[in-house]
Amino acid sequence: MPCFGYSFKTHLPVWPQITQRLPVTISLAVGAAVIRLVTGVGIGVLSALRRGSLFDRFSMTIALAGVSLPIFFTALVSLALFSYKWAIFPNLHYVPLTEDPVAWAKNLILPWVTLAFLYSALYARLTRAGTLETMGEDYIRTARAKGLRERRVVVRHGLRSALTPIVTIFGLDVGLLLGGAVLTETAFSLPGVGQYAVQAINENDLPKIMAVTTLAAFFIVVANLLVDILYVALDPRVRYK
Amino acid sequence: MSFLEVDDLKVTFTTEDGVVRAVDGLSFAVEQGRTLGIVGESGSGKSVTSLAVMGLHRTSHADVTGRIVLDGQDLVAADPDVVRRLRGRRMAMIFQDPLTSLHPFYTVGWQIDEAYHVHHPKAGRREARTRTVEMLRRVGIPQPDQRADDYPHQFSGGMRQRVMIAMALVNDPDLLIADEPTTALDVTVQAQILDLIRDLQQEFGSAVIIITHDLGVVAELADDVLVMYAGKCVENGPARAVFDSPQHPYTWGLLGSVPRMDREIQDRLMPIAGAPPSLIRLPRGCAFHPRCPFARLNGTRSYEDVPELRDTGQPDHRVACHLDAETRARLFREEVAPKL
Repeated sequence: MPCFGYSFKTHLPVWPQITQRLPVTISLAVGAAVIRLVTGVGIGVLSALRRGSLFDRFSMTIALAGVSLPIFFTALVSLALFSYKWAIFPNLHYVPLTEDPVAWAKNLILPWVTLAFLYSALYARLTRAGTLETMGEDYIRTARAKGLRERRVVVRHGLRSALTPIVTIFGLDVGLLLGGAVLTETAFSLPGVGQYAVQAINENDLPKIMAVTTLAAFFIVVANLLVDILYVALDPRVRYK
Repeated sequence: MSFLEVDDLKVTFTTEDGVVRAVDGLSFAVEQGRTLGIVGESGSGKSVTSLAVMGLHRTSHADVTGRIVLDGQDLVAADPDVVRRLRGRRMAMIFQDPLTSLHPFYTVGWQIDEAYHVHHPKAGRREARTRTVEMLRRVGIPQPDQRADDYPHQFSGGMRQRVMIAMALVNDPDLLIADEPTTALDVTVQAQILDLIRDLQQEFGSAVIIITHDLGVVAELADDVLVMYAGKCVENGPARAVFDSPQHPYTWGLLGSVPRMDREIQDRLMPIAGAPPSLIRLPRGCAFHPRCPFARLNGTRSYEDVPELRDTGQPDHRVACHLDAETRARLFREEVAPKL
């Protein structure tokens, strides 16, 4: 068990507090990551397939808005609308997965979507650009010359090549998120590692800050390593010896 | 009617600078079991012609008119999905650069399986694999059952071109278009690939169009030759006739630009002066006249009239040149032939 010392303020050991908060952060990070990957790549591919169409222009405008809007803005707006005004998700509070999976998901949907919105826009643009770029490659012409349907050409041949940079970014994103989504956790008052970090900084509680920073660094290093290993599966030309 | 008939084919691209006339009224025909060589400089419209026949121009916003009739069916007017179904099954294509024409992330076996599967949707995985291995064996890849599981980067350039050929022939196409199939390869490998294409054609009896700027390749393979310049046919006829008594000054220029190993050492090659014209603003009259050393013999006609394809007197041999047959024969005999 790593020893990060004791809090200056409460004199309690830091590590147990972090492990207690970690499930919240992991729930938020993994859920948001899955949503952003699926919607982002999906919208990106559809846009690439129908370049210049109404769907393409509409989704790319939304994507531009998504990239541009800061999370503390979208989070507060979504809270105001969905939690207070229309009360679709009223009284948000974190429920552990082990306790009640349905309540767990229901209370996390809003933070997930808010956090995913920002990044799925990034993924959509990345996927669209990557797919369109690959569509100019010689092997795409070969795929068409075989008589494949356009959909298969785009998805199996075009998207497959565009996927590598997306996986790179996805891995780093997940690593970053696991270190604590500071703004989202604070906005939705989720008792995760990010919120803990904000408290620690406000209280000048150095051991807590140290622990959170080290943990975040650890996740990023591990995510990097996993991405590198994943490359072998993704790109047959990559072999480590 | 021939197996493939192209009639008055025009392919234009609209760009910001103007309309590019990549192919401008091209007609030719290929019979099954015959090989047509299309020759010309870069930008003469050779590749665009082949892409138009395959229906692969649609992605580049090209405008195609005229008729491309494959076995009685017009491909220009046909629904894109109909052409797609023909693609890879009845007509197949080999591309210039085997290094970039195969998908780097899939095994070559998977890629050939896919080409087979798309036109044989009911075929099982094992059937497709058997066919793939059989094709790889036929194009001369050693240990085909093991190599099928290798990725393109594990093959040499020549081997990758063999894979491309195997992929093109997996569905027994009636028409094979080879677009500069040997340009990216070593000279020794070039000869092997050409031999392979010829052998496979004899075996399968398909019609072959070979597109190249290399007259050596044409001499090696083609039964008929079509010389293209600025999107038009300037000379076409049986390979023997075109090589023995070339009629067009452009063809003379092409022949003069080829180094010959079987002759005394020449002083220097005779390149064609100037560069190919812009396809947006073609020279008036005969598109070749600014580069033609004999254009002045016609007075003002060279830049006033577009020359039509005319019979040369030899069977099936036609040329588009304002010079009359006698003058051409004299020029070739006295000025061109001694230097070739």
